[in-house]
Amino acid sequence: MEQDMENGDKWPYHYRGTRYHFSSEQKVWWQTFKNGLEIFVKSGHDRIIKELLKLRPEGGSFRITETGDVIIKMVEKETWTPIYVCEMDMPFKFSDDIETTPKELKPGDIWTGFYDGSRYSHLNDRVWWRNPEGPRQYIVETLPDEVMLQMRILKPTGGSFRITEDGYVITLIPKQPLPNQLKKQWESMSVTQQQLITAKVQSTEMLPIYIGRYHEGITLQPPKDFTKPLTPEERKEMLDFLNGFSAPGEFEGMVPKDADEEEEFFDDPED
Amino acid sequence: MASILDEPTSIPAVDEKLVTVNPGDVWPLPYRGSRYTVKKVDDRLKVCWTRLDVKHDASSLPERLIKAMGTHKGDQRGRFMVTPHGEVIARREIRDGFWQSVYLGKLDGVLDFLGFELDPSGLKTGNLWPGLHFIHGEEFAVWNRAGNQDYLYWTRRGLYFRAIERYPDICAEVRKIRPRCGRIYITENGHIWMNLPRSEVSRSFQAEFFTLLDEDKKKLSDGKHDILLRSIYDRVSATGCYPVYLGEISDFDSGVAPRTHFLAGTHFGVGGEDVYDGDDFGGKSWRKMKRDY
Repeated sequence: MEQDMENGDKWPYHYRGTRYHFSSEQKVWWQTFKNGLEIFVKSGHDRIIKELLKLRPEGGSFRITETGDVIIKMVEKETWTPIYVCEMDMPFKFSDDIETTPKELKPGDIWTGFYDGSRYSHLNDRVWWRNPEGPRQYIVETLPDEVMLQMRILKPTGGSFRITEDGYVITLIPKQPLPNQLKKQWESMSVTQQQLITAKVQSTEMLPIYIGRYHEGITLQPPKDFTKPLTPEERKEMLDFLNGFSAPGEFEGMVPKDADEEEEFFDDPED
Repeated sequence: MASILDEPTSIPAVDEKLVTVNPGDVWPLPYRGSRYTVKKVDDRLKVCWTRLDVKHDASSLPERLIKAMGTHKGDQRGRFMVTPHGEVIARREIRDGFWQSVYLGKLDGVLDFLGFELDPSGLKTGNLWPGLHFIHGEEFAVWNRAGNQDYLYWTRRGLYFRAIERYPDICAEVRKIRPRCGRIYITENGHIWMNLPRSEVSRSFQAEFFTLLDEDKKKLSDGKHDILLRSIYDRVSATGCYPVYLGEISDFDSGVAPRTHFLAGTHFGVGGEDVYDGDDFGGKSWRKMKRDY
């Protein structure tokens, strides 16, 4: 968050983050999208629930961004508006041994929490947010080299990933036979952890894994606005390019050698 | 204003037998064509065209599109495609993670995007294409290799397919302009445009092409065509090729857009909502599609 905000202020940034539910009985939980498996928050939510109930006493759902901001959507005159609630004080603790702040994971290990967080995508070194109301928006920040390296190693064809509110970068990779060290990790997991992973694998054919850490938050570049008039200089530059661009001349079959039509991904449906 | 007609279409299915497909029926042919999306923008549903960090909103919603999406796709929002035959197709999730292609109806009319002309008139062969410049039109390749027999080809997962009929007129026109051949795109309004690298314009077409290019550049420089100029610039930057108008499908060969013939039941549309039954622009199979003898 870049500016001082108070509970009830309009949230001016992109709406993203781990999705939780809360009730008028002051309970907070995370649940799977389709089979309704619920993971209850044991601690860390006292202030958040008080602030949430001020806005919506009947309960509902909210999100926590990778910057630790608690946000919610409120409806007014049939229009849903993102609203800032408060900042997260401390990491949540969960029932059923669900561990969202693990200490000793290595890149490529199975993720020990539930698969959620602020969703971004990457291809090569470019990272973007997929705006549901618009086109992708590239991010301003640069993710740490180690994170991008692991992403290239573990997910070389690109795709989406998540950043949790506790700064963990996680992603989904095609399901595969587990190597021995991951078999050991799997056997050491609780039944609920295994249920979460199994549900994810069954619904997406993909396995959630840990990639690395990132704590700095994400800001977005504005989308390209084609309706904004070009300056005379921009127009001239584009027209000159059309006249004099140096085509590669080299083709590989039907493809110019440096063509860069990028593909889009759909490897992480809402869970 | 465009609309979606609630009417059946006739397609060649397995073994080239003609079958009738009604709105709501499974779409058994490849999931290919021009790609659009219905998004909620400023609390209103709009038809959008998107690629990377670019989005264009259609000026109006085709009548009955939202109803057809809701009824047959099960979601008023999301992707849909339009074939060169005007068939509107989409993807619906029939159980967790399992999607299939569905036919919604026929597009009647033209989608209207500020700055673009999707159904231009008066264009000459060789003009820059004034429609959308990515994922607009079903993609085919014209070959000059021996044995191509004037078929149009496309590729999916490394396999090569060809259209049922031969298109000698289209192939001849492409070869006249670009002797080494390449890819063409056939849009839902029956227009054909092609990729033309500057280095591969035929000698016989060079004078005509560069005269037309000068005319187009003059039009694009007037400050009223900045959207189109940006889009053409993006296309040329990304592909190294000019997007060049070829003509209307009705003026070539049988006058009917291509269909693809399958010898046996081929499973198309395997994957999620965003599947495309063709390999990526820069995919390996397109790279292996050698143009020379």
